[in-house]
Order: sequence, then structure tokens, then C-alpha cells
Amino acid sequence: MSLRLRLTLLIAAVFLGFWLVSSFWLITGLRSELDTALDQRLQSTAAMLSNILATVPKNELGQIVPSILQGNELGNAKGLSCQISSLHGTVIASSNTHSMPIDTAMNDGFGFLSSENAQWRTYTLKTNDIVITIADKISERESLRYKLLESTLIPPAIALLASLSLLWIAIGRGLLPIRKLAVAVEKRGSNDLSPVQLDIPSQELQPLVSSQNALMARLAEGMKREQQFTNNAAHELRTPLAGILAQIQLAELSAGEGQEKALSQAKLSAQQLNSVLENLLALARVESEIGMSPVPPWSLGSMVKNLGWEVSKDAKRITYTVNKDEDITYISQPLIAIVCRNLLDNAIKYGEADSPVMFFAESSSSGIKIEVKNSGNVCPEDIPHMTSRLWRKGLTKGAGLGLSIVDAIATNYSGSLNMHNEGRYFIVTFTLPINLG
Amino acid sequence: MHILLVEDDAVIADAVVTYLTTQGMAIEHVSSLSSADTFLQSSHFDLCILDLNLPDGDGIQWLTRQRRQGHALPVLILTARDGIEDKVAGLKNGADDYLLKPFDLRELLARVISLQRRASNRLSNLIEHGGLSYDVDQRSAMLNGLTLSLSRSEDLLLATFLNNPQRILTENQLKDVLYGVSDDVASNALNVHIFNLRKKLGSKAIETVRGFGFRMGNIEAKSL
Repeated sequence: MSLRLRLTLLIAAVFLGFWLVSSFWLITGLRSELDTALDQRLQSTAAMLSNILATVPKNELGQIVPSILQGNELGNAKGLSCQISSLHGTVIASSNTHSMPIDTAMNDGFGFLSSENAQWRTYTLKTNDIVITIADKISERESLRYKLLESTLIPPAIALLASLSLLWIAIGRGLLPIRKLAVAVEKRGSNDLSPVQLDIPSQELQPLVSSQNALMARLAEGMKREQQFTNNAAHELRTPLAGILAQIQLAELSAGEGQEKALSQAKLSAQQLNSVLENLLALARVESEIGMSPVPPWSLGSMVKNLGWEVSKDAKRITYTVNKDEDITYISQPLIAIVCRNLLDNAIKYGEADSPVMFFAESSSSGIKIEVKNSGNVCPEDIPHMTSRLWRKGLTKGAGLGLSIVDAIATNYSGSLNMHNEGRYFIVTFTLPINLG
Repeated sequence: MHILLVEDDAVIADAVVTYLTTQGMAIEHVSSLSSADTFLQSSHFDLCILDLNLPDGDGIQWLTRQRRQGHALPVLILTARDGIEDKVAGLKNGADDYLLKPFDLRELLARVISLQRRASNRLSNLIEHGGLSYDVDQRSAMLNGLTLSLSRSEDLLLATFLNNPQRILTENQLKDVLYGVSDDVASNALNVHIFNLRKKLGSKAIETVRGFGFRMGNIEAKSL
């Protein structure tokens, strides 16, 4: 059901309810007032006749009463009927034009009288000499009530229908911005992330549209980044794979030394492929590590002792300094080991050949700080790109994932990764606050 | 055929160079676009095999630049970029063929031969010149119905002359084909190979154009 129809039906139901209640109240009140007024009419007519007839001598009643009744318009087709009888029950005069049954035994006051064709409302007044009965037809009263109802209910009912029609149009106009927004959203394909523009500005909808557009922009940016990453990852995986397959094919076509050389080349590519896969898996692990089970306490000092062998023959180039080695319980040891290993690996690979690499680590009450310093500067324009996944420059052998992984760990744990040149050194600083969000 | 391979992955480059060399082609390998520029300025090549993700730039941009400068060298793109946008961009910007990594070396060879055939406006891999017929695919030559026995260098030279029938090829171009750009070659080595070819094909088979170089000459057809 459309919002417009829903709103219109809801308002119509409320209007109709009010109208029905007020109409019922009005009709009930009018009916009661009408009955009272008609009864009073009977009573006053009887009283008027009584006063007139009090001045008429008894023996002249039979001749004079019909002319009195006619003079007071009693006995008309739609008017009142009248019957005058003696106290003994003898009918003196009657305007019995509507076949009102003659009943001389009626009690004083209001009552009902029935005939074959109709019902009558009566009022009987007894004086010292005569009994006066005034009556009107119930059907006449009903007809009067019906006319009253018609004039009371039909105009408001028409007004109600007109109001609802206007309401339908007004709600339609009022909901136009929403409808336009719905059409604009509906028209877009599932892959269309372009911003939605509202033809009719709406104060209430604008925040929703702005928020949706901002979300779409972020989504588009994210999808673009993911697409770029997927393309790069595919490239990085395919290249060593192509090397392996080509060299194996070559080995199949060769023999002896040629075959050995081809297999050794294939092994190099396999190692490169393995390195890319390891890094990609590490990245996936980093991104799924947040919120894992509690971390057992560990220290930087013990972890650093195990780093030397991991960076192989160049371990001698590294000098380690560990300060304030407080136990760590807010991030797992393997993640910080990845950080240290990748930073050292980069410093050894891309720093000046055979130059020293300084490693500094600290675990204090404010968090973890790891700093790696190596000789050789990095082009300042390249620094912002260094954390992009699979970004490489020059004839480097890396997969372009090491610093992206460190950056992902820093980002996921509300930390930071800072890189800058200082004199003839390049310094990378990784910090992680203890108050993890 | 003299081929320039622009590929930054040493393992792939090694496989391509080794395989195509065994197939009788002379191939130069460079790892960057700047090196490719240097080689193209100093030597003649029949074909370029080009990777796209190179350390000093994008292969497609480089190719666009080459075409804009009027270089008509046939180019085969050999890359891991499998997106349809990349393929379209590569072919639209001047590539003659596009091969995805990983690839089969035999397919690479077939595409190289096909490009060479198209560049020479030939319909098949069989080149006929007077009484000489040369099968590019099999690398075998027949003179008046008799199979010729050619050394690798003679085969390379003959294929180069047959692929450029009207063109004068300089001494340096022919040396590049035989020995590559960087090899130091004895000054008379080329003349020895040409002498041997003339001995096998006839004295007029290879003409000397004084001051310029050599050109494919006439080979008489003899009925057996």
C-alpha cells in the first residue's frame, strides 16, 4: 500500500469516526427535542381548546365545536386530530379525518393509540365537563425526523467527501519529494553509485539524500580500491605463476644443464609466489583479528630476540634497543612480530647496502612504539604511496604488501604509522595506544 | 627475426629468451621502458614483446607514445592484466596482439610468427623467392626442391633477408640479428656468414649495396 493511500485512509478513518460520533450525538439530541416539541404541541393545543370550550354552554357544544376545530386547523391531512367527548364517554365532536379510532376511555396525559393503518401519539385532557384528546400520526413524526436527518447529515457528508478528495491531492503534493526520491533511487541500476539529486528541495529529505550520497561515494571509493587491489593481486600472483609454468615447459623441452637451470628459475618464481601468498594471507589475518579471544601477556623483549634469524644474513646490520618492556595484553604477539619483521625487512632491502639499521621498541603504560631507522632517503612524493597495497617502485623484488600490512594493523588497532626522512636517514615509526577503541 | 623483449620479471624473461633463441630468433631483453627506448634508437627490431607493469611506467602509455612518434614496429603485449578494459586499451593504442600470463611458450612462438607474417604481408608461413622456399614455422629451406643445410646464423640471416625482400639491411642491423646488441662480434664474422650463404644459394642471392649494406638478390629457379 502506498504511503499516500495509507495516510489518506488513516485521516479519512479519523474524520469519519469524528463525523459519526458527532452525527449520532446530534441526531439523538434532535430526536429527543423533536418528540418533546411535538408532545408540547399536543398539550398546548388541548389546553387552548379547553380554554375556548370553557366559554361555550354545554348544550351548544355539539354545534359549535366543529367550527372551532376547523377554525384552529385541526383535522388536516398532516395536522393534528381531535376528539371531544363527555365525561360519560359520549363523543361530542371529532376531527376524525384520518381514521383515528374513537377511544373515550383514555387516561389523562400522553399515550399511544393504534389502528389498522397507523399509530398515533395522543394527549388527553380532562376538564370538569369534557375530555379533550389531541393526536398526531407517528408516521408523520417519522417523516419529519427523516427530513431533519437529511438536512443535518447530507451536507457534512458531502463536505467530508470533498475534504478527503482535497486531502488526497494535498498528500500527493506533499509527498512529491519522497516520490521523486523513490523514482530516482528506483531508476538507478544496482551497480550505479552516482549521487541522487532532488529536483524539489526538501528540508526533511536533504539529510537522508546527503547521507545516502556520502555512503554511495564511500562505497564507490571502496569498490574502486578493492577492484584495484584485486587486479594488482591477480597480477602479482599471475606473474610468478607464468614464470613457473614457462620454466617448467622449458625444462620439459631441455635436458642436462638447460633443464637444471630452468628448474632453478622455476623455484625462484615459486618462492616469489609463496612470498606474495604469505603476505596476502597475513593481510587477511590482520583484518580478521580484531575482537578475537583475550591475549595472553607477552613482552617485546622476548619477541625481539626471535627476530634476528627471521631476517637472515643481514641480522648483523641491525642494532636492537628495547625500553620499558611492560607486558602486553591488548594485541597478539604475532601481529607485532609481523610489524617488526616487515619494517626491518624493508629497511634492509631498500636502505643503503650494508649500512646499519637501528631498531627501537618500547612498551609502556601509554602503548607500544616501534621505530626503524635506516640510511638512505625516500623520495617525499613516494611516501604517501608506500602503504598502498601492491605499490612498488623501480626494479624492486618486494610484493608491495609489507607496509600495507603494518598500516592495516595500525589502522585496525587505532594506532598510526609515520614515515619521514631525517637527515640522511629514513625513519618509520609505528605506534599503538593502550586505550583500544 | 630480431625481437625486443621488455619484461621486468627475470624468470619469465629468461624462459622467453631461452625458448625463442632455440627457435632461431635473436632476442634482446630489457627490464624497463627507458632501456627499451635506448635499444630502439640504436638497433633494428622486427618485433617487440611488451609487458605492461614496468618499474618506470605503464607499457600502454609507452606504446601510445611510440605510435604517436610514427614507430610501426609490431608489438605483442604479454601481461598478467586480464581486464577487458586493459585488452581494449592495449589493442586500441597500437598493440598488434595481446597474450595473457600465464602462457604457453609454443603459443607465444606461434603469435610471434603470425605477427611477422602479417608484417611481411604474407598469407602463409612459406616464403618463396625464385627457386628458394623457406618454411618459417619449421625453419627449413629448400633450393629448387633440395633441402638446404644451414647453420643457425645462416638461418637467421636468410629469414631476415626473406622477411625484408626489398629492403637494404645495414651491417649493424644484421649483426644485431645474429649476435644481439651487446655482444662483441669479430668484424668479419658477418661477411663469412654471407659468403657461406652465397655459396649455398648462388652468388647473386645476396647483393651488396656499397656504402649501405646488403639486400636480397635473385635466386634462379631451376627445374630438376
